Amino acid sequence: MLHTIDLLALAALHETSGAGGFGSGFLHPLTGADHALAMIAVGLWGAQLGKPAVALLPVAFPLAMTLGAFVGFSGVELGAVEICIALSAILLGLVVMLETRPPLWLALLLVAGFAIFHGYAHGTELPEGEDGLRYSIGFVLSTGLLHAVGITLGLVHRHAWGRKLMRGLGGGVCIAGCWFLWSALR
Amino acid sequence: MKHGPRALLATAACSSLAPTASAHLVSTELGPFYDGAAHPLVTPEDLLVILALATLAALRGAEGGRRALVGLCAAWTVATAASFAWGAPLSAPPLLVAGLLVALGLACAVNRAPSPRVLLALGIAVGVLHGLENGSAARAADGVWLSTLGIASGVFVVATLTTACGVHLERRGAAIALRVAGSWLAAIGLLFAGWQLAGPAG
Repeated sequence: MLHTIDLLALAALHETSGAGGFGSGFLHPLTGADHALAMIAVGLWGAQLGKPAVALLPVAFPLAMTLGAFVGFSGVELGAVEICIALSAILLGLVVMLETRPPLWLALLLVAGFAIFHGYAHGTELPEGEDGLRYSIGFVLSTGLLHAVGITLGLVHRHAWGRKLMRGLGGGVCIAGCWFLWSALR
Repeated sequence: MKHGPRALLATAACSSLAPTASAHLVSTELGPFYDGAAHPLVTPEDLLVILALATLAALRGAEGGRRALVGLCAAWTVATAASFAWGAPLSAPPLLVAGLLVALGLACAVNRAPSPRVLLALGIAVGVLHGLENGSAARAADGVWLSTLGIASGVFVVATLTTACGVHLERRGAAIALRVAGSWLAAIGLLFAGWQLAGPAG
């Protein structure tokens, strides 16, 4: 997997046509705290739920995210995107904090639903003059790495103290989500 | 960035026929062979599809990996040389490249690797499609045949390493890593198609 990431980054950094994009795509999910926390929370939740959710949530998220980006490309206006992204942080933080264990299909549906709004935001914010393919490589890699951060943090779930820590992290994401919601509504 | 459905359809039709943006080799300052070897590594359109095919083939184990590798490398080399010898500029339609990437990535994500024979055919198809385009890049270089050999070597190395890593993971029961990688590749392919449909981004 790391080999693949290295090669993709190498390819994306080579900008033959003079159009950049990898850097801004890669940084987009990282520099938006609302995106970053929600994606880390997906990884944390996957780690809590265990197999097969830990593997399926990071598969479902990028695929659903592209649907959102397509909606953005097609010119359809999704209302209240920032509010829905803030709600995603609140709800994902909440399920981690409460260690909620819904059926797998429901967890996938919830994560995929929120991914659409995150994808929409990424898809409508390609900087002028930058290359779409490199931008896409950047933000898909970045999203995947944020999930990986969440899953890695979630490894502590096997310990009793780790479970408490994860619930605390979930609570933190939930509180941050409330702040994002407040900011979006102002 | 906002377009109506008609504009999207019109752009899709145009972009499916349009050539890709660049057809030259990156200069490594080490000569035409290394310029060619670096080409598949630094050209996302080529690299992504090699990674997708190699990852999919790895889900079929060593046998699937070998078949895909032989088909891909042989077809890529022959098509690159043929394209150079033919002399006419050729390019793969970006939407076809994106579609191929999505199909290969999704097949990985849902763990539906085809039989080794189909993998061989897929390898040949991918090799021909991208090799023909690489001929244009090789033609623009100083040492054409060395560049062609370099491109073939680059494709072989990337495909072999990726397949080997994939087969290793699959044997260790970590095939889920390949499925996750497939979903990422499919997502990138879908987004690439989306940018094509949405019109020139740059």
